[in-house]
Order: sequence, then C-alpha cells, then structure tokens
Amino acid sequence: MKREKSIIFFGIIGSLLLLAMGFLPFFSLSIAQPSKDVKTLKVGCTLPLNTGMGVETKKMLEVIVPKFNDAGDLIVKGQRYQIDLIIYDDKYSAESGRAAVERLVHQDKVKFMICQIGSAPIVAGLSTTESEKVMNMVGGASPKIVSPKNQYIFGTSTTRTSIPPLWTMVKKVFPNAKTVVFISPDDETGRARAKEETQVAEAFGVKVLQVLHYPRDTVDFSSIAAKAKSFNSDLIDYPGAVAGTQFGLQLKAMYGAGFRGGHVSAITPQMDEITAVASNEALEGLLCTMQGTEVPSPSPLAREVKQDYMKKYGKWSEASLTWIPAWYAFIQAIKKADSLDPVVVANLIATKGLEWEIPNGKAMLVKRPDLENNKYCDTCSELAYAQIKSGKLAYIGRTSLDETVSACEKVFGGKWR
Amino acid sequence: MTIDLFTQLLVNGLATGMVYVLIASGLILVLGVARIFNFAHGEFYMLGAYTTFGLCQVLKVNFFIAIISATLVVALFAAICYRLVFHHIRGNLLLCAAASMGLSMMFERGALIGFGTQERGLPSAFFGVMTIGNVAMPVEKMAVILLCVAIMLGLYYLLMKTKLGKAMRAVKLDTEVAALQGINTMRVYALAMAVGCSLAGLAGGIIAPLFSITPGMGHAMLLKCFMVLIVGGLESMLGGVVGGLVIGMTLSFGYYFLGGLSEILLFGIIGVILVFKPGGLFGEMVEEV
Amino acid sequence: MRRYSTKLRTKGVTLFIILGIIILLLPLLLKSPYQMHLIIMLCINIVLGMSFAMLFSTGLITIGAAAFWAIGAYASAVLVMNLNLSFWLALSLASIITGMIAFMLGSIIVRAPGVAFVVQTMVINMIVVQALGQMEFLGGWGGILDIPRPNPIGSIKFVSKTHYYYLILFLLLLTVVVFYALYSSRIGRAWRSIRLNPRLAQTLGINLFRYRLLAFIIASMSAGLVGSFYAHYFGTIEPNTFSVFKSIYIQIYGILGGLNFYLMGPTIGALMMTLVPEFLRVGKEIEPILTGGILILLVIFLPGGILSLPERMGSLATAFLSRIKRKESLH
Repeated sequence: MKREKSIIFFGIIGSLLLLAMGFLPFFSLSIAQPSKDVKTLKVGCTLPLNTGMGVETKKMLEVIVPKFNDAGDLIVKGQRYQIDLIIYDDKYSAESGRAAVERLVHQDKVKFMICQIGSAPIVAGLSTTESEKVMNMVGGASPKIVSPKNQYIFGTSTTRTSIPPLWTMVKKVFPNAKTVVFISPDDETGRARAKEETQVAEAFGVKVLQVLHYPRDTVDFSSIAAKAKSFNSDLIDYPGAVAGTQFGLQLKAMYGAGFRGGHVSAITPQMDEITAVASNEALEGLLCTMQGTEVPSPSPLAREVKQDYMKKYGKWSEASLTWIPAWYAFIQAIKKADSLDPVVVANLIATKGLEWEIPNGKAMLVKRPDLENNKYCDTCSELAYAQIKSGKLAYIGRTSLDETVSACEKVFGGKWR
Repeated sequence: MTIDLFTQLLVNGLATGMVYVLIASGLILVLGVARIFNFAHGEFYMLGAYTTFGLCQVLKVNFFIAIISATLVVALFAAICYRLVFHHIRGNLLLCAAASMGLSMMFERGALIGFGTQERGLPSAFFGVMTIGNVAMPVEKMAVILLCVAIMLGLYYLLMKTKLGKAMRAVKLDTEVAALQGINTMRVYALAMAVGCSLAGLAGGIIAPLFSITPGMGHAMLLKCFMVLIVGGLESMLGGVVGGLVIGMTLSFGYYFLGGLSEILLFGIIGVILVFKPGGLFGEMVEEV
Repeated sequence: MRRYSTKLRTKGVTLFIILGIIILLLPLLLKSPYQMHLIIMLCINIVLGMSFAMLFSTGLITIGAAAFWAIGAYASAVLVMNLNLSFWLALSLASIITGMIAFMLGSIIVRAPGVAFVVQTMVINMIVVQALGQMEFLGGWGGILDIPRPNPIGSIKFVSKTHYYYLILFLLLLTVVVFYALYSSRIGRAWRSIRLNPRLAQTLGINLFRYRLLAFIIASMSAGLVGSFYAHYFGTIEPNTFSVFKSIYIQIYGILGGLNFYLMGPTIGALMMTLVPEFLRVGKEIEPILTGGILILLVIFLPGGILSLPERMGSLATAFLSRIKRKESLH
C-alpha cells in the first residue's frame, strides 16, 4: 500500500512538472519574434490577479499592446521598438508585490513599469524602483506615492484628481444641497479619499456631517445605511468605494433605509454589476463619472479600444479602463524624450510635464503643490459625467482639461500647471 | 432610538446572524465529526452561491428548486473532495488543516478564472416590506430568518433522531469505540463533510439574492465564521447558534452606534468572553487537539 | 556495526561542511539581487516557522505567530524613527519588547490548553492587525514608510542585498544555536515530555504553565527579532502583511517540513512555500492553483513532512530488499 502510494506520488509530481513545462510557452506575454531591424523593449507590470480589476486590466493590456506593436509606432533615435510587456501577479499584497518588482527589475531587467494598482504592492516595491532608477507610471492612488522625495514614479490615474471637477458638477446637478454624509471603506484608499473629499466638499460650500467607515469586506450595509440616513443630509458620497456589486449594495441599503436624497460618486459604477443587486429606484439620480467609451460621441481612440476589446473578448460589460492611462502616458513620454534612458525620460517629464491622449480624452501631468511636490507627478484629464436614469447611465456633461485642473487648483491651492 | 429603527437593526442582526449560524454549524459539524478544520469552508459557501446563480439565471429554474439543487451539488462536491484528499489523512487535525488551506487556494483562484471577473447578483424571490403594527420589516430578511431556522431545526432532527445523526455523534465522542459498535466510520466522515459543506453551500444560495456573488466572498465569510466558533466554542452546535447570533447582533447594532469601530467592539466582547470562558461560551477544556 | 556508524558520521560532517560553505558564499554564487531577496525572505520565514515549531514542541499550536512578528517590526520602526535610536539597539529592544508583551499575553492564555489556546492566538492576531490599522499614529492601514536602513558598521553600509543577507544569516544562526541549546537541555526534555503526555509530565513535577510560558516567550522573541530586521530591510510595513493568513502559512511551514523536526522542519517547509510560488510565476493566473495542488499532494503522500522521506525511502528499501530475499530463498 505504501509502495503503491509512493509510486503514484512520484508519478503525479512528474506529470505535473511535465505539464507545467508544457504550458510555459503559452503563458508568456511575448509577442512573435521581432525581425532583425526591430528591437524589443521590456516593460514590467504587476497586477492583483486575485481581483477582478487586476484581471480586467491585464485583459485590456493584452489587447492594446499587441495592436500597438503591430502598428510599429515606437521609433526612438531612428530605431523601431516593440514592447514586451511582462505581467506578474502581486496578489494585492506587499510581500508578493515586492518579490514581483524585484524579479522585474533584477531578473527581467526592465527599466520601465506601468499600471501597478494597489498601494501596498507599489509602496513595497518603491525602494527598489527608486534606487534602481526604474521609471514607474502607476495607476494606484496614494498621497505617499507622489511624495517629493520620489523621482521616478508618477501617478497616472485620475481617481484623485477627478474629485474637484466632479463637485463642480454636483453644484450644477444638486444646487440646493448643503450637507453630505460620506460612506467609505476602512482601508488606506478609503481613509485618504475621505479626507480629500472632505476638503473638496467644504471648498464648494457643502458641509460634511459625518464620515462613516466600514470594514473592507462588508456586504450587509443595513446598519450603516440606517446610521447614514439618521443624519438626514442632502447628499451621500462614497469616497474610495470599489466599483462593483459592493457599491450597488450600498445604494440598495440606503434606499432601503429610506434615504431619498442625492448620491455622488467619483468612480464610474460597473452598471451590469450594480443593476444585478439594486433596483432602478435605488440607483436613480446617482451622479458619477463616465468612461470615454460611453459618451454620446466617443473619441476615435475610445472607439478603437472598445472595438478591439470586443473583437477579442466578445462583450464590453466587464471591461475596465481605470488603470490604463499609465500605458498611454508611458508611450508618449518615451516619444517626447526620444530616449530609452529612464532617468532622462523621468527628469524630462518631471520638469517639463507631459500631455497625452487616453480614451477619456486629453490628459496631462500636473504638479501637486498641496503635497509639497513641485515636480510634475500626478495626472488630470478631461472627464465626462453621467446620472443614472432608469437603470442606465445618462450623459450630462463634461469638463475640459483646463476646467479640471482649475477646479483642482481652486480646492487644493497652488499652481498645478 | 425609535421602535422602527430598533426592529430594523434587530431584523438585520437576526438575518445575518442566522446565516453565520448556518455556515458555522457546518464548520463545527465537520470539525467535530471528521476532525477537519476546514479552511476551505468559505469556498463551499461561494460555490453554493454561484451554483444557485447559474441555475436561476442561466437555466431559469425556480429559486427554491435552485437552492436545493445547489445544496446537493455542493454536498456531492464536498464528498468527492473528502474522498480524494482528506480520506488519506483522516484523523490528523493539522494535516487536514494544511490540506484544506491548499484546497482554498485552488478553489478561490479557480472560481475567479472559471466564473469570470464580473461580480454577480440575483434578483430576490421576496419583495417589499411587511408591516406588523406600525413597524416595517423587509420581507426578504424575514424569509432568510425563517429559512435558516427551518434548516437548523432540520439539522437538529438529523443529528438527534436519525440513525445517521446518532452515528455522527458517536463518532464525534470516540471514533474507535464507534467503530467497535459497527459504525462505518469512513462513511460517516464522508457524510459529515458532505452535510457540513452543504450547509455552507445552502447558506450561499440563501444569501445570493441578498448580497452579491464574488469569487472572494468565501474568504471574508471565513473570518466571521472563526469568530463565531471562538465565541461559541468549537465543539458545540448550541455554541454555534449562540455565537452566530451574538456576532450578527453585535455587528448590526455596533455599526449603527460605533461605525468603523464596530470590529474593535466585537474583539472586545470576544476578549471578555475568552477571559472568563477560554474555550468559548459552550466550549470544553480539552487537553488534546 | 561501529565502522558503519563512523563512516556515516564522516559522510554527514563532509555534507555539513559543503552546505556550510555554499550558504556562506551564496551571494557570490547567486548574482541576481532578486534571488538574494528570495533567500532573505526565506530566512525570515524559516525563523518564523521555527517559532511555531518551538511552541509545537510543547504541544501548543499557535495561529498567532505573525502578531509577534508585527510587534517586533512596528516597535523597531518606532524606536528608530521616533526615538532616534540606532538600529542595533532597536533590534535587541524590539525583541525584548515583544518578549514582554508575550509574557503578559502568555500568562493569560497559556493556561488554556489545546483548542482554546489555538483560538486565543487567532484572536490576538486579529486584534493586533485591527489595532495597527486603526492607529493613525502608526500609519493606519497604509503603514509606516521610509524606514531607515540599519546604521552602518564601519564600511558596511547595508545598501546591497549581500549585507542584509549576512545579517539575517547571522540572526538565523543565532536563533538556531539558541534553540538547539534549549532543545538539548533539560528545558527541551521537559517540553518534549509535555508534548508527549502532559498529565504524565505533571506527575514528574514539571510545571506545565511555566515551561509552556517560557516556550511562548522565547518563540515570540525570535519572531520579534526578525520583525525588526524585516522592517528595516523591507523599508515599509503595513498591517495586512501580518494577518491571520500569514500565521496559517507559518503553520504550514512547520507541517510541510515535518512536525517532529523542530529546526530542519520549518527550514524545508519555508523553502517550499517561499520558493515554489516564485518558480511557478510562469503560470501567471493559475499559480495558486498549482501551489495549492502541490501542497495537498505533499500533505497526503508525506504526512510526516518532507523530512520523513529518508525514513520512508529507507523502509521502502528494506521492504523491497526483503521481498527479493524471499523470492531468492524460494528458489
């Protein structure tokens, strides 16, 4: 019995190893062998592949990067380059994130990184990317990342900087609102966003009556909704909420608790997911941002991305563009500097800024004098807004890049341009 | 505090509490009878939710039939897992714990890859609000409470009155003596695992219309489940009931009064209970693990 | 018979020396800082695994080792950053502070035997994580950033991984030596007897509470020690790193290697659980499925841990040989 077991054991281990080796070629994201006159540029990326947003970002990159390579558009100092994007799983944790970054920097020898999401992995890898002078365009949002000490890291998603322009919309859509209650997750993003949005709300003359934090994994919002309702505010805001079903549950609970005021959210809700858990009445009137692919007349880039994605995956409903601006920023930065030296590129855009295009429209790097950083380190972009009407997102307007930056300057102070 | 608010919080606390009771009872059953500390228990809960979703949305089956079928599917799946994995290391608590950790890793990632990244929701089979006196209570929460109570009664009947239940209790008391009595302990272990995990799957199906269905839902539930076991004691069904209700109520009333500090309140209560009753409210001080 | 054992001993010693040389010269053999990072994390995990094993040697199972790791890390960070102490002082102080907290908590929970103890260690872990997350003074959920490197000794500046490696190697060897001394002493014998049969040990006059508390304190101090190292190596610490799940992983390090081997067991277990997921990075999304699968297979087929393999091979060999002999004798 023991002997048979051992034979089976070794047999299984052996076959697993063979299987794993057999799968190796399929799992690398390398594109076909480049021809002689095209060189390869390795770019690194770590994503939380244990979450939906990580997997969706990976799927989106797997559509955008090969198409970019086929177009053969990257020419630096007369040499054509293809991008070899290496994606590792950081499991949204500091340990795995650091190991992934170490591997990218020291084993795969990347000089550029893009699209990292969670602040735990980004911060864990920060000492390595900074000391090894790897230019890192991150998606994740945390004030600690854009600290003036850091030289090679740039925040490229607009989740933070979209808040002041959003509130200009709030004043238009809810002109009589005087009070707001915040409901926000009890984690780093939630707490940071709540602090920032408090500042924004008060700058626009709306008083924050209370900030309620819930443990990150909450699904039952009935009690929190009851408490939030008890303040009888005009508005409820959801700083730092995650775009999926959890957000829908919060709206459902607020409706169930009897709240009939206005809802505001800086994120773009995932409509399929929130309509699955909340009724149309509960969602009615939510003011939020809208993706550039859903506005009445999307830009050519937005249309192209949506088309390519749907060609590969069939449906668009799960797609996420939130963390993609980093890729476009990276390509534009390389082109502007006409160099593949991360120090040169980083210094150039940190001192001279950068403007580029994303599916949402125009984007630019901005300074953050409110965080004592007078280098170009964060991002503002054009934004579109919507309200939910009868279970669907209805476009209500947009702010231009100029208006967005001005709103940020007004609230947080200083010159951002 | 109005009577309206109080009832709302009470009903919420009971509803979530009863769901915790259901899941925790499954865990206690598996732990007590099969001696497996199942870290993958949350994943069976998640599986039940997804199966119910699949049956309701894709095959357009009636909700109740979907729940029952989902329970059977999860039970079968659990029995297979037992036979393939735990059967070989039965009796050894630590090894089973490690193996269940491995299963948990596999199932969670497998669910994300297999079921996709889109989080799902199920429309509720119960609508509206019931009014008793002048207090309003959401029907779906009442339905959850009633369903859970019914299932717990069924479980009680199973454990106390049927032959299988008696066999399970015998095995829990002393495996060797039970075997001497002619009880097929291997089969009892497998059945205990099937019943225990199916309770979790059933809870997943019941909760599916109330909350959302995501691949990670098992993980978050598991921690709450541990807390129920800590409060109630790891070996006692009654402890599971009391523990689940305590946790549910504390969280429901706690969120309202303390907001984010409700977790600290929970730990405080657990800490106090542990100081006076280290094994949990109904726990026994057993020397061996 | 005697010749056999001396031959084995010389073979063992040579093996030991060769391994020792490889370990000491590792930075020269492994050029990549990434690999050195893995080895450094491996060493940290080995010490954590050994702390679990020490408690297990007295019959106590803990799912709270990560909490003391956290206390050491945060204590050291605060001592260096807020009180401007030298890292070397903070290293020892962090360990001592962890020991003191372990003494306070242990006095309460060590009395509760078996299952209750497990549960209480889990609660401690959860409370520590939640508390650290709520305290804005300690950085809240974002944690503490920019923790300074260890103060230079002479010309060793702790910039390259090599310096950190030798430091953690020193700490690891220190722990091994101290633990080995304890296991071989009267204390170790008391622990083993407590694990085998607590009641019987008590009849021999062994005070269960005192010996278990001692194990608890020493195990926690070693966790606190590497916690301090971790804080200054990693440069940043955040509460979720020290969650109950990490404690469960630490437990698996002990189980995988072999629960009867208090020093080598965690080493092998940590080796497997730290390095295999990295090797399997090629699998991208499916890596946890593979790691989980391997874990299950190892637990089923090697219930005594990986270190029981020589024994199993040995018994396999003897079974095989005796079968051959029987066949021969029949002819």
